[in-house]
Amino acid sequence: MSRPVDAAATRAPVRVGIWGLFDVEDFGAAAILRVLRHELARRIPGLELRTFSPLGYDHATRWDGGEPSEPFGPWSPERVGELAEALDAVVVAGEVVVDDAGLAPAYGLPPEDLVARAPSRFLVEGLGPELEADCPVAYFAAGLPDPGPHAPRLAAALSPRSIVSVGDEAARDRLAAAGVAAPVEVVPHPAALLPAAIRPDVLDRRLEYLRAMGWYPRGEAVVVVGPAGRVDAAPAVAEGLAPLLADRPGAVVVCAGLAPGDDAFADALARALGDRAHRPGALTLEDVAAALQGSAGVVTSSVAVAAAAAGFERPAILLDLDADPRLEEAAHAADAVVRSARDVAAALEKVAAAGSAGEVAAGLAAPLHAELDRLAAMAVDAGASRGAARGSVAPDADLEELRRRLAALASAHRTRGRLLVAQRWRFADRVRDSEARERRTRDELERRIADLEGERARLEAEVAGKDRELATLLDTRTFRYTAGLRRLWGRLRGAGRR
Amino acid sequence: MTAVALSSSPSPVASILVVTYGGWEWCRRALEAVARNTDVPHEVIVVDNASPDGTGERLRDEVRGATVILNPRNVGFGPAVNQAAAVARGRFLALLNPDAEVQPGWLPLLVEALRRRRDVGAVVGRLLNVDGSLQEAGSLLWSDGSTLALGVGADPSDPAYRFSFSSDYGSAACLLIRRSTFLDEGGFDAAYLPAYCEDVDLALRLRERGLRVLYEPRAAAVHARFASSGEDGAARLIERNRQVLRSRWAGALAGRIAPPDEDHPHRTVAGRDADALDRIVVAAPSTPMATLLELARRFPEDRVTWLATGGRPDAEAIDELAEAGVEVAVPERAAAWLDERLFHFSAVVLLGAGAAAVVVDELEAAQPQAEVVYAFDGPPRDASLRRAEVTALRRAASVVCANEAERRFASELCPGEVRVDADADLPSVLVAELRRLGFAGDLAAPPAGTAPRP
Repeated sequence: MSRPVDAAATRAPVRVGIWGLFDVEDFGAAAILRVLRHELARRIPGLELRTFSPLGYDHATRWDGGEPSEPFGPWSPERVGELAEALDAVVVAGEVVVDDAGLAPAYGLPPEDLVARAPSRFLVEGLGPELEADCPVAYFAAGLPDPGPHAPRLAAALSPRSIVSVGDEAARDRLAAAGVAAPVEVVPHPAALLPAAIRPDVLDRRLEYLRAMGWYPRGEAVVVVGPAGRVDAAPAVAEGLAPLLADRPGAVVVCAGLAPGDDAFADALARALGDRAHRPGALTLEDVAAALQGSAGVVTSSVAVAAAAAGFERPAILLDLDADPRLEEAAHAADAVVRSARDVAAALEKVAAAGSAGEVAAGLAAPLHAELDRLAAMAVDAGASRGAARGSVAPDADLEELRRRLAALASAHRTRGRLLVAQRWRFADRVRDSEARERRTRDELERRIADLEGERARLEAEVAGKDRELATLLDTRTFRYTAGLRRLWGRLRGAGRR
Repeated sequence: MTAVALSSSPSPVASILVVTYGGWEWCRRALEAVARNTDVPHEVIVVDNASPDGTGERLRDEVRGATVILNPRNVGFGPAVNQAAAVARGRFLALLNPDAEVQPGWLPLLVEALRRRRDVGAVVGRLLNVDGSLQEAGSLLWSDGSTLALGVGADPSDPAYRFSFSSDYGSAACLLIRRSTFLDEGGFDAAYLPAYCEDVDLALRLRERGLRVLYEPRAAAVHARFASSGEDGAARLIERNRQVLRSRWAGALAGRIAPPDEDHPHRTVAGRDADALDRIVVAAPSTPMATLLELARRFPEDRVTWLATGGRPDAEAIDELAEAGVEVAVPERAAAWLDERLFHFSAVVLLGAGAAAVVVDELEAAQPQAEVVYAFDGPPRDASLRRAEVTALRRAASVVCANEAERRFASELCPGEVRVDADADLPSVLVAELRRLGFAGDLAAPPAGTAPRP
């Protein structure tokens, strides 16, 4: 499905920039970035990855996973030149903005501030055709709004590019209408590859954490990430879920809010469902992934969540209450989209019963991997030619062999060192054990000697007592007066025996 | 009551996470210490686990500038930390107990230690008791799952606890970890509910990834310990969770050293230095600063110790050496000190006859495995020093002389290599000799990043 690109073609590391709106509270953007980091690193050994966003670490969010992007900084030709010098290739991923002022609410800044920074010039124009000849810029799973008066910008910027992929057909159509001449691929939401980007033990740990918090049941769970801003639809969705909950007495609906606008819907849905709902607090990317993986099914208005659920081979339906064509398109099958809340339960059961979750996941993964392979190859090729230009040379086979041997020797040295360390403390243990045994034996002997000496003293005292008694007896008049008779008796006894 | 005013940066470098279960007065003092002593852009997140004594309400009403999360029930320490981490925005997470008062400069030192070293996953500060004595200078984990806090009750100025080293785990009372690392590992494990040993479990998981926990003595906190839960309750919980730890980590624990006891006191230092493949002790009466710093630089993954045979060095020297990760030892009786470290050292460097006189008689009994390197420091002043020098020369694998006369004298006695270094670049010469004797030092260090002191 994916192949490591031959990065031995260049000694210098391949430097890739990922540009996007990764500094706003958005699960989809966070998922795209996590997947890109994982998949590019797998394909390009020695990859150096840097991410850039309009404000970057000056607008850190909880979704950045502790690795905030760098800020683009205000647009200027000098800044563009700096970035072109520092990178070998650029991937613009996720939502692309053409109207800078429209970003203001996401950052809590005045529109004129965003206009002055002009982040759209990075996301649309990239590095410009001249610099992109050496440092190519690609679009990956880009989300494009209606460009309106900005269509010529898109046409000028994208037409020369060799790799352009967007997240839905409507976006491709918009680009065609804007006059973009480059071939444009449509790929599923990269969140479909999230399962490979998070370790299974981490998912297990997070699921247990969610349960410990009382946010996820031990039994069956249906995860609902509802339409932002549609609090009014919550009762209807609750009613739509009722048949499913009736059929599964132990099942619980996990009402998750992933973005500020989702929370109101999640709160309303949880109230409507009462004790058949859990309402989690703030979730991390790993928590969402764990919740999806552990679920019996997912109901969502988020393309990213649906893709992630499909990636985890969980039955998922898209709740499209507002006739959003992107949701229609994102559904893997017609019956995976519901336009009315009352159809939710039946649709989810049907998707679950179809048993095609594995095929769906594979179907989503294949085009994504193909596009990622192209991106990786583009980056490696660019890295090789720019590496040569920077003066790095093609790898010398002998030198590489020496490096490999040095690394092996160092590793062997450390292993041997650990063995010696273990041997030393074990030997010290043995010596101390012997010393301790010797001490205890000596102590025991001393105790016994003391006991015996005590016994001897007692016996000596007893003997002395007997001696004194005998002497007293010998000194009596009776004994003295009868001495002659006793001697005569002794002689008579002796003669009789002979 | 005056509110506790905390600063909350819009772009925090660190998120300080505190979990409370009662103990409002301690918590208040801890937060005031954070406000007073934290000069890195940060945010504070406090999770209250349904304190029975109104601590939650006090947090809500009397603390400004912090994110306060009030749980309706006690979810346990680990999940509460995870809960705080989920809303954190800092690049680093600073876990802090609610009864720990951080000391000035604590956070930049922890952040610096973590930033500088790529294979360090977490950094733990020095914990002090309320009476000023040492509570914990790093912690060790034994093969039976029991743990030992180093330096309990000791004088915090004791050089034995002033240098940085790889700790087996770091107490979550004052611990810094990258948020990405914490999340990549899935945070604290709920198996250790309600509390204790989750920090040990996390350290073992970091170790599986090749990440160490570093003890940074310059960052300190005064910790009341068990102020919230009480000591008896804590002991029961610790023992219960130790069972969990043993069952989960049986394989990893089996390879560790058994706990020290009165028959095996050497295990404490053996445990502390378990990651140090080579242990080099330099015996010298006065501060051989250049030599020690060069050894620390060239043997970054090993233990470098200065056995100060001439009495306690000045505080500045100790500080400079501690910062470089060099252990400074000033024992009352060097012979007993060496005996307590039976078979511990890989190399003993004797700088002059005075140093030799203090240790050479004990070397054969306590450190027969160590390679001895002797460096002349001029002719001995009396017969006893001459005798010690002769003994050292007979034992040495390598001798460094300053002139031809010394070389001739040494050659008659030393079974090993004798060389003259008239240029007096002793540090470089000693490094070269140690390498020649098989101590690879930084030549065998892992290639990526800067390795921490062990």
